[in-house]
Amino acid sequence: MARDTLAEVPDETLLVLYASGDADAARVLMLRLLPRVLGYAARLLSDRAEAEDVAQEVMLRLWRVAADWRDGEAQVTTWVYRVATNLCTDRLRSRARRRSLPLDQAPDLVDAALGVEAELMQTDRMAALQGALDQLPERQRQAVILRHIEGLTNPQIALVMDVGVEAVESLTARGKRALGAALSGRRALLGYEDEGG
Amino acid sequence: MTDHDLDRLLDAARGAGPVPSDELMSRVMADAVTVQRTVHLRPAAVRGGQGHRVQRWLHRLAVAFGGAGALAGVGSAMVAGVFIGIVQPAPVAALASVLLAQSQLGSVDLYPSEVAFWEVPQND
Repeated sequence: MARDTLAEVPDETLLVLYASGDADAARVLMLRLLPRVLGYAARLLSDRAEAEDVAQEVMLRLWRVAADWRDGEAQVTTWVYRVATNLCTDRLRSRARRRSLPLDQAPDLVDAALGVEAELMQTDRMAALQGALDQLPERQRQAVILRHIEGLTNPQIALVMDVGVEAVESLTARGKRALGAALSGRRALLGYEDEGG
Repeated sequence: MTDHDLDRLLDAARGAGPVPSDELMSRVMADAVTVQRTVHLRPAAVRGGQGHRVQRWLHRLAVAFGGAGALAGVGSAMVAGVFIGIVQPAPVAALASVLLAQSQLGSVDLYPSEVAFWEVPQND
């Protein structure tokens, strides 16, 4: 099927098309899912190379389950985030000490359309946010990223994290408070006083 | 930092994720193609159902013969036997005729029959 035609096709249908031999379906799925998985893994792991390995592994597992996918049983996005969460958790637990995201990779996190000064400020902000996220307990960090950066709903996060919706609400609320506390005192440094609001 | 600042920071982070490199996308697509060819597009008989039963049966047979190597050896010998039986190459046919002749010789009555033994020749 032509790639343009596939643009509006749901993820679950694309997966079935892929399993039946449609290579374009795989490419469309990859373009949709890979940036999200990579971004999520990068924020959880604070390591670009490890995040890439996780993202590739998540996609590989998706390709493998394609033929057994049952329509209506689960959303592909939820499944993908769940697998990514488990893989990142395994890596974090096997790591003695988490490394920070190197600054030379930070330009990946900023908008190319920004001016140089704004770009530097954006880089500082993203680095500060990542540093604050790294300080959160693992489950709070997952919940905050899924809710406030990846944009998932609470029921979706509950499926990803295998907890109830109330637990998600609690985790995101506590996580966001802790994030605010970790960034307190940096308002001026991150340029928010100049911008007002 | 106010709640509003934090919301703005998180909103900004939403659109600022890392971009997958071309190399990563190539690896992911290579995986997709490999899995598609080796897992999803194999004939149904190999992928599941009857194919699985045949594989399990062959596995049990191999174990009974002491491994896949031994089973292959027995299989080869069986095929060779059938082949020789059907084609009957000249040396084998010659050998068979000799053996057959010997077996016919073995059935020759070397002893006189009971009747002949007791039969007293009469001198005319």
